[in-house]
Amino acid sequence: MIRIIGVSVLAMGLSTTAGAYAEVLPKNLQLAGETISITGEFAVPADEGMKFEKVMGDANFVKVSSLPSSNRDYQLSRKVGQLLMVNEDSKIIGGCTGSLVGPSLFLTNHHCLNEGQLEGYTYIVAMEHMQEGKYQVSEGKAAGAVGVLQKNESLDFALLYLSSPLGETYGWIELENDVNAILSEDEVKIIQHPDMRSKEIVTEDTQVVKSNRHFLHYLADTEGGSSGSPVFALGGEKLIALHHAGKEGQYNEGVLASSIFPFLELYLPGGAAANANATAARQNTNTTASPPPPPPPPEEDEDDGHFSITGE
Amino acid sequence: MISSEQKFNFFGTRVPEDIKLFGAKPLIISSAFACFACVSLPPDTAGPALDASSDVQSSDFDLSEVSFEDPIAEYSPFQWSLWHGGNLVLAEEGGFLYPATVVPGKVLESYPPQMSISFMDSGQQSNRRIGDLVSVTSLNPQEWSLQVKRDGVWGESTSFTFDGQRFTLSDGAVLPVSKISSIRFVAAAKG
Repeated sequence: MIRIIGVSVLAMGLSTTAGAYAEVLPKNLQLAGETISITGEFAVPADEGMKFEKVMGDANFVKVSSLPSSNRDYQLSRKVGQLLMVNEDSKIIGGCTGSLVGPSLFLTNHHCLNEGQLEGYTYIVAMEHMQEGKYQVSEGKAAGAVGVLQKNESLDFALLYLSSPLGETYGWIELENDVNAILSEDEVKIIQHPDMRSKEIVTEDTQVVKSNRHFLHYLADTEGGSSGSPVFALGGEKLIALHHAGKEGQYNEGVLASSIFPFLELYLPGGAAANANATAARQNTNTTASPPPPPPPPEEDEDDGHFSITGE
Repeated sequence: MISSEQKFNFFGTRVPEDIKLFGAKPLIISSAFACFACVSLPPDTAGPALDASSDVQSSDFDLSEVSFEDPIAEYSPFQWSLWHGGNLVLAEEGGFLYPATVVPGKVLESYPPQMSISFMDSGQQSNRRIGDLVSVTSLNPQEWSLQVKRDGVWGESTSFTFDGQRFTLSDGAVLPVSKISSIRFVAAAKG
């Protein structure tokens, strides 16, 4: 059952500044201390009666913190973070999940941003929300989103450029570009922050029930806040889909990684744009590297006519 | 997990009770959305078949084409009409509440959750937080008034009531609503 949890940000006892990403934060929210405690009322009015129960029957969420650190899924989960949407009053007004896909690259959903843009809010990527209400945001464990490198509303993805190379600490996730490999999977696992809770993983009752050219449908549990979560094959470590929605109560839905990959390829480690950006960063280590220019969009999709796929 | 037995119960099974119990705006809409997916009408009350893929965004959608002889008491006739029409909600835009349809019928799982909607008047699409969406029955007529577009011009009414399938405006005139896209609501001036 989903509970609408009321939280707001209280920067408690934070003493020092937060280095490179402090400039993107509201002045009252500093990322310098060890922990920001989340208490009080959530900025979004919570309606006590609103129940979006995507989880019916037994929930299969497992706290990542309960896994041994040597566990493969625990190690994989380190590359998954929580995207926090913060307003001018330093209150968290929304959130999603996402993945590091490069040293400074974070992949999440388009609808997790304000009409696909960063303007108007501060977006923080926190990698260490492992206990309820405690966001580990000391330097190296969190970063601000400073740019949107690529996005597409129809495929509901957004690639964010981070103010700090969190991937150098946590590593990053590869995208599976082989659609046949994706569609051969019959069970998945999802690492996520459902209902804004600390990091959790779902590995049971996660059957794939349907797929088409761009979307994968599965029974794995998710909740509000899980958008942007990486979907993996049950025994795999590559991102095969980007979770974004539940559809008509029958299944949950993710966008195939193979549909997103052409948009991101140039930015991902090894891509031409990523290499150029790394070169620029080396030449001027005192400034944040500029996001590379967007790659040309792939050819328009001619599959089902629901939408055309072009870069924004 | 989401079992096959539960697949039509995305928001719970007690939709009519939900409507009675829940007075807040988001709940009504949650249930409206659920109803779209789960309610099976008896033959004598059923209007046009519900079709998840039907496109009701056209401004040519006409309520007069829908029959509602015997709606269940918990729902207003107008609410029935909305649901028969296909997943219709009201969303704020520029200070007005416009009818909009949910497309393509899925909940985006950000926190808070969102729905992708299409405004019926303009066809413009956007994502809105579910808590921001309202239904006609959740509106307080003392706080909201109805406007109707005639010949391209919005005409104002200071209050309204629902009477069968028709809006009764404050001047006593009975206005059959011919097109969903020709109505909107505006917050009534206070005092």
